[in-house]
Amino acid sequence: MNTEIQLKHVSKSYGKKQALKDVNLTIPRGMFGLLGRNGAGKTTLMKVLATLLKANEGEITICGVPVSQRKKIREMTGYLPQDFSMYGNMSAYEAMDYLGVLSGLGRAERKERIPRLLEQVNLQNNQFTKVKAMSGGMLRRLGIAQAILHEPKVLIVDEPTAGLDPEERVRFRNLLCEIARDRIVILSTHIVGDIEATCEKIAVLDEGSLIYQGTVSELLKKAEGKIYTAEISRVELEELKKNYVVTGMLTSGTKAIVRFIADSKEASLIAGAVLSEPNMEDAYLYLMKQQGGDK
Amino acid sequence: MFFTLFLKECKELLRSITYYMFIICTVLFYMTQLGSFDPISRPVKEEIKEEPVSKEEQAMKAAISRLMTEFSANNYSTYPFGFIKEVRLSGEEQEQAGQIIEKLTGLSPEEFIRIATDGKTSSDAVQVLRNISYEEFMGEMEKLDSLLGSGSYYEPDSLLGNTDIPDTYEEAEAEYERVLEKDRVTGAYGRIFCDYMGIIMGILPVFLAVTRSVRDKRAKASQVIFAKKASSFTIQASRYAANLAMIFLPLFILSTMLNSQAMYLAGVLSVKGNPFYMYEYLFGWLMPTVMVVLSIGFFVTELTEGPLAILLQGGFWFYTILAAKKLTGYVGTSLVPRFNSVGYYSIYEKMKPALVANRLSYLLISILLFALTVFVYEKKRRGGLFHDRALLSNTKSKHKA
Repeated sequence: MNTEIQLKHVSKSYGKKQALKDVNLTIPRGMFGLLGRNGAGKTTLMKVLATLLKANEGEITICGVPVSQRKKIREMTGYLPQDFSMYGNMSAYEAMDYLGVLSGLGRAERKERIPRLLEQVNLQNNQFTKVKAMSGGMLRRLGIAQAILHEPKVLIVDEPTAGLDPEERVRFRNLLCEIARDRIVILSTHIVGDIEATCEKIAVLDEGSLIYQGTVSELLKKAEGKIYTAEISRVELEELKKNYVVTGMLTSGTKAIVRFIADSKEASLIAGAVLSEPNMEDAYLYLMKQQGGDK
Repeated sequence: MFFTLFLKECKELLRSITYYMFIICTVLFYMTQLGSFDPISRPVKEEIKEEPVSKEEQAMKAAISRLMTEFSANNYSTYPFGFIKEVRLSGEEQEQAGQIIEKLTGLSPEEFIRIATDGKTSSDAVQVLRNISYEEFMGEMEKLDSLLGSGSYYEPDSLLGNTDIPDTYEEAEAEYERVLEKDRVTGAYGRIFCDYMGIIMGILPVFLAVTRSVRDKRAKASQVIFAKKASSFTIQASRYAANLAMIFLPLFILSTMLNSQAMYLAGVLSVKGNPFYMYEYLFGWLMPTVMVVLSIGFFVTELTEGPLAILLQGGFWFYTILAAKKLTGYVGTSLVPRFNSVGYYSIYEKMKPALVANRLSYLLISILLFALTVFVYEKKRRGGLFHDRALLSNTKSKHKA
């Protein structure tokens, strides 16, 4: 049985603005990260997969079903939009029940699944909490619960951790990993840390084009030998920022420890520069630099 | 899926402030306009003159007769935009009204009031002067109507329109018999119920429709609902049907109250009242009005995603109410057919073909508008009404790629 999402030469434009340019991508089962700057085309791609937007060109199949078969696709996908909410006067249970009906679930299925899912997302004590009284984190968890209520094969999650506190973010990421055990979960985000913590397979979009597709370790490998650390004075810092992509810094008094992208020749110009192991953020920024410089 | 969604939508309406506002307005309107039961009674021979008169003469006579009551009490009923409004004239204005009466009847205001209030003299005792032509009479009536702020009984068009009443005792008797026989009493009350409630149902449902249609967007729930399996027809039809049912709930209760009074009256008049006539009128007459207003609300709001429908329907309603040329037996192309009388089955019989055509037309329009609503909604679920353009797209106005 086909358990992949395949995109072939997919393009999408809004008038003159091209949001997706000839995207070719295969998304396998498990967690899949879609990374990119704000405005890179991630939300457009998510919406195309969720049948909320129609691509101008290209072919898309989800588990072997073309996206033009909207009803079938909607049956097998769960979607959590970036700014998910529901009617404020509904309780968590009622919101789930309403969306469950829209997903075509019978009374018995809803009755059995809703409490179980609310428990899974740690909202078992908030069944009667009104949506309007929920925190951002609670809403996202409710969003996930509603998205998997009809047991979809694919879960599409758009920027789910934006605005969450660190604890909620970690809890949410763990939840996604649990869900991804038996389905495809596409996590779209501009937060590198989310991808690093959850996904092995990723794709990077930039200005509508797919600039990377592979594993996290392959991306890290690309940045090997390109990340340096140096302790410099604050005066030198400004000059360094002008000439290099700085991926991290720690300032203390008049000194600053910086991580930056450079080749060995460039690094030799910086006194005390030491080659470092790249992390995901370094690798992502290196990729973006390769693509078109520091934007 | 449809029925479950329908029930959920009904439940949501029961938690909506807009719905309770709708009920309050509907009940208040009913109480003020139909609160006191006006029983049908057999015509009294002495009160009706025998010889037939011309329509013009009848109109002048009716105006003078009405003036005797209203001028003497300085309490005039006017119907601006179809709603009853009691008007009291200031001293100076009442004096001007007195001058009009004097010009038309030759009687001083004091004499006119004396005749009107002594309880012995018949209203026939007051005649319009022979030298006053019908045109002159109507000119004076226009002045009086303007003194009263328009919409009064004396408005020339209304005066002539309201004279479609029995001329003789025999005619009045025959009319009464028709109400007993054809209307079985309850039908006559069904018509007046539809007349009054039609006025308010020509506008109120649009608020419910707009509230429902903007709810998804306001709650930021559109995208998640768009992505669900349910068809656009099922989603929209469940919302529409729930609104329609919940609008008819108070109407059904109020009409049942009136129907029970009419049934009781039928018993008093020794007639077997028909309990279903009221509901035939309720659904046949009022439902197309409610449906078209709901459809306009749903369609325009789905198209514009704002409250423009309220403005549009408000304008349409205003025009409809103003355009009614007479209060009893007016159909035309009006959204709100008028029948502001209890009885007069013969007038109803005459207007029936036009009424049926009118109601069927509005029913078709409402179905068409609903179909367009489903079309627009489905388009939005697929990325917008016009692909690749910002207008009515399901993405934000500034495309978030």
